[in-house]
Amino acid sequence: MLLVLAGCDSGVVNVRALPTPEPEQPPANLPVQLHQRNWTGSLGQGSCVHASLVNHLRWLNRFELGERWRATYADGEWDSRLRDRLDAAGIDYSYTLKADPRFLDWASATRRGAILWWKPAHCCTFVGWIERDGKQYAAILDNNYPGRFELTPREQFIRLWAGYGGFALTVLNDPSSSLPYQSYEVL
Amino acid sequence: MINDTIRIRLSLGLIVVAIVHAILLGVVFTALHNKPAQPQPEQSWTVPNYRPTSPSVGTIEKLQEPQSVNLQAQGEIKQQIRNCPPNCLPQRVYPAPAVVQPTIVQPTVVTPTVTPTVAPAVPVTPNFVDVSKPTQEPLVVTPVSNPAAPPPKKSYQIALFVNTDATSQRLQEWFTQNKQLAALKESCEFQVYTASNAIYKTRYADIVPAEQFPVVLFQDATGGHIHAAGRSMIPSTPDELYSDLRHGYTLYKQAKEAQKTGAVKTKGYSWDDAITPTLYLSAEDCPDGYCPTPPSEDRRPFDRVRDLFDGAKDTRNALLWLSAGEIATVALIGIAAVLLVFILIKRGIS
Repeated sequence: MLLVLAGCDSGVVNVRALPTPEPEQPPANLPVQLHQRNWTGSLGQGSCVHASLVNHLRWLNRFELGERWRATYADGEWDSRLRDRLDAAGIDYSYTLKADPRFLDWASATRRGAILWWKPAHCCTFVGWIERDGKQYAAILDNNYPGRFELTPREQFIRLWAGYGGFALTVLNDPSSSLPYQSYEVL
Repeated sequence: MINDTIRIRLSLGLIVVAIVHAILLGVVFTALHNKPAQPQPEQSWTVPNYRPTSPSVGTIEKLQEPQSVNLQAQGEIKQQIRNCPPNCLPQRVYPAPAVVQPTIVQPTVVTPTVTPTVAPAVPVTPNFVDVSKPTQEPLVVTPVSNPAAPPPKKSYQIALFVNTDATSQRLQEWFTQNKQLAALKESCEFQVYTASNAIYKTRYADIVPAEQFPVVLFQDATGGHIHAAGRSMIPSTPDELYSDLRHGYTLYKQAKEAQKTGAVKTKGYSWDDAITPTLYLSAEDCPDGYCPTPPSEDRRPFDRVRDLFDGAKDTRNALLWLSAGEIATVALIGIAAVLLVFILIKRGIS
């Protein structure tokens, strides 16, 4: 009887893996329409840190939070006060002050990206490492020039990032989902 | 008589050799696995005295000028300095860095080539339902704002595309109230999109049309489809949804494993034929006694969960993990004992 019943449904389904497309680049590929431009605050100062954070939050699908942040904060910012403000808002984050490249590796691998000190007296959004001709480049979204990504070779980027202060911060929300593709088919 | 005595002595000698071999193996193994003693802090070391030095200004020297000045980049930097005040940066002064000439690239326009893949209804397989046991180990809790231990990468993603209707609300509640779905949600990157969501409109509107809402999308870290269900394809209970997700995951893993072994090319392949007969596992494969699993790109150092839907079932056989030396010792002792018994019996009979 058991043999007869067992033959009713073997449960075996043949499947076949389909080719994996090239990974999305940069990993934190914030759509152009959502690139936030830097703005001038009430003190007449640029708001590069807040603009970078808004870009970062948008990629993390925290659009409303980003809009609230944009409406609340402006003008210049520094790392300790930024962290205080994130703490006050109950936003979990991870950061480095030591220009540790492993932090950016992690931020890129998890597709979150980060905000960081980049260029003199400026803050940008790091959208991950990308590969070009066998070399690794840092992809940067500069809020002074939305609509494009700037690429800098990895070694040069790490070196200069340390010179600019070595600060980077990532909010620990999950990033936007990857673009789906069919990974297998049932034969 | 003489022959029997010699045989007995040889057998006893063989047993002695085997025992000595076992003891030596044990000694060597212990010696190799002894942890080196932790270096003790030097007791004679004392805190050096602080000698305040008066601030001094070094000689001013002219730095080497670059061969050419990038006026465009210089203009950019000036503009950025104007846009961002000095208090943007920490209160430290750094040497002037070299001018960066970044490569400008235009962001890739999202042009998905994959049509929405709403999976057909998957028959419920009772074998997969395991309500009594938790399916996930507790996640490693990392301290807030600790740059040394950021949370590990999650290898799978779940996205819900929802409306404001009752079905959508119920779907979201499942992922918070049902234990299995909540645990699965915690182990995956999880996002909820609505039709008015900015990310949805710019990335997914063409892939997942709003007419198909609500939709559950389960995929790997690269976006590889594992399971998707929309509208009427969504089952009526959370347990059924969990079962569907698990079934999709099983098929996905099956496809990936078959791809690795090369057995995907044909139907009804023989697993035994695909595996090399010389494949064996040595003790080094599981140094801590934890059952080794094939190295996989989706495992991470912090990832203690062996498999997304894996339970506590473990069918390890300790004998498999014996080394060749240990097996040889046991075999020698066994052979010597058999010979000894055989000789004694024969001697008694004669």
